[in-house]
Amino acid sequence: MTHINVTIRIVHLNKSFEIKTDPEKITGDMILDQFVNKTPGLDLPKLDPEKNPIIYQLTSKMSGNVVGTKNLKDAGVKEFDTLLIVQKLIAGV
Amino acid sequence: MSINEIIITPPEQKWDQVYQLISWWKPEKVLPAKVMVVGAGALGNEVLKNLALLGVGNILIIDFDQVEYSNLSRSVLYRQKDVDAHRLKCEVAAERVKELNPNVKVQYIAANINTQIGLGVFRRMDAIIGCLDNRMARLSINRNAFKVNKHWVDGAIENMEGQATVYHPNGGCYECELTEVEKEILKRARGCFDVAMRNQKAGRIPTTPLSASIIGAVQTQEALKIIHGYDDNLLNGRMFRYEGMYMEVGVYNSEKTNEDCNSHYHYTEIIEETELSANMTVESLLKFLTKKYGNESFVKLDQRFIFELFIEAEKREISVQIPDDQLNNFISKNNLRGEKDEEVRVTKVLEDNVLDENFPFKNLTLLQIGIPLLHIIRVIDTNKNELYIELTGDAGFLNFK
Repeated sequence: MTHINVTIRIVHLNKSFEIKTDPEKITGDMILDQFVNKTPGLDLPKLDPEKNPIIYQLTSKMSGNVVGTKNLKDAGVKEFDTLLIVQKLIAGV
Repeated sequence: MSINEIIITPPEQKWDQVYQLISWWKPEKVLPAKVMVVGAGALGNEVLKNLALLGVGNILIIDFDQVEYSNLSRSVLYRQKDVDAHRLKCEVAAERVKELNPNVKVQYIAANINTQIGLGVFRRMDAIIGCLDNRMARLSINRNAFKVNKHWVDGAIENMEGQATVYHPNGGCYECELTEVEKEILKRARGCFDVAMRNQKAGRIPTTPLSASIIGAVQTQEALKIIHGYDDNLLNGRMFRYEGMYMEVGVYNSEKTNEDCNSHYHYTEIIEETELSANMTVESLLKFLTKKYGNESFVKLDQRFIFELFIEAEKREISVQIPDDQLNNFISKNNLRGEKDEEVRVTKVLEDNVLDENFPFKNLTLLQIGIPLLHIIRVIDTNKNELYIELTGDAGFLNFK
């Protein structure tokens, strides 16, 4: 399978990473897991001030889709897309 | 020659005369509209300010908190004097909305949205806007809005970020989008509501008036489209997301629609019974149901009714008569967990949530057993049909002024 090049952008850290990945085998959740839990030095916060786990989401700038359980191809992610890692927000007060 | 007196008066000025220059603006939709705003914090303030300025006719404000000093930096409607007087957010917000636009009618209710606002209230709204700080309240609104086939607009903020989404009964919903981790958080919060509340107070998530303004504006804009019936242009099942520090703004399609989702449950035909009210006793309700829907009819309660608790700190059982939503308050108020924060177990509840002739406390009112005013109760009639019966006798309590 042809790999595609995508940019992973962690918005609130203002950091970007270029990656090459298999769009048919890799899901959005796998990318999130890699960047949130398994990439040394990133240290994305895991808990909010209320001690609840922070939920991260991956969104594709090209397709305009939230990319979660689907593989990248099915979620419409294409060559040179930018995938944004953002927090799912809950506050409002 | 006589001189006739001629009085020249300026043309009548209307609040929305500038808006009437907008091609799609329909005053006949906006002026009678009823909008419920749940939560009167940073987001709620912005939404309420916008609704008032737009002249949305009837605004219902739901919140049970008091104004605190920490709210003032992000809430355009509150003042120091409100903090000093320990006033309720909903009451102050209602007052200030009227100051902004006296043409608008307002009502406020200091209540917990999870259990204390009847479905008949949801049913009478044209739009529902959630300005909340927790998942449990969002889930409650989501389920209630779906039952009565209403849109609701969600918003959330943090720091200089924010997001807004519209959920529609025929599409994906808030519950569909919950991850397994979020479901676990909700389960824990349900079990220990007072602990969740303590945590919320202890560690606030930082918000700013900037994100509140932007997201509050988007929420109000979506509510305005709902009021006008412009469904095609809504953020239905899509998320508007903004991050201000690095200016990332976009609209994203949600991924999930779960056909087995618990929220995808609509009440089909709703029967209005003007003789029924949440202030009546269980005995009167059961008599009415027997007469009209058969002697085997019963009510299926939405929440548990608790008869007995085991208090670990005292190693004994106590008899109680409380609905589930009051359990944690009851435990805290009576300090039942003791100094070591020990367990309190529910040991006896009303079986299968069935309210029928066997219920032992028939002199309690429906309010006392956890049925709110203007609620729609689920009744199983003698022929085993599930009926959705509104306590329409309470309709008068919805009284915008």
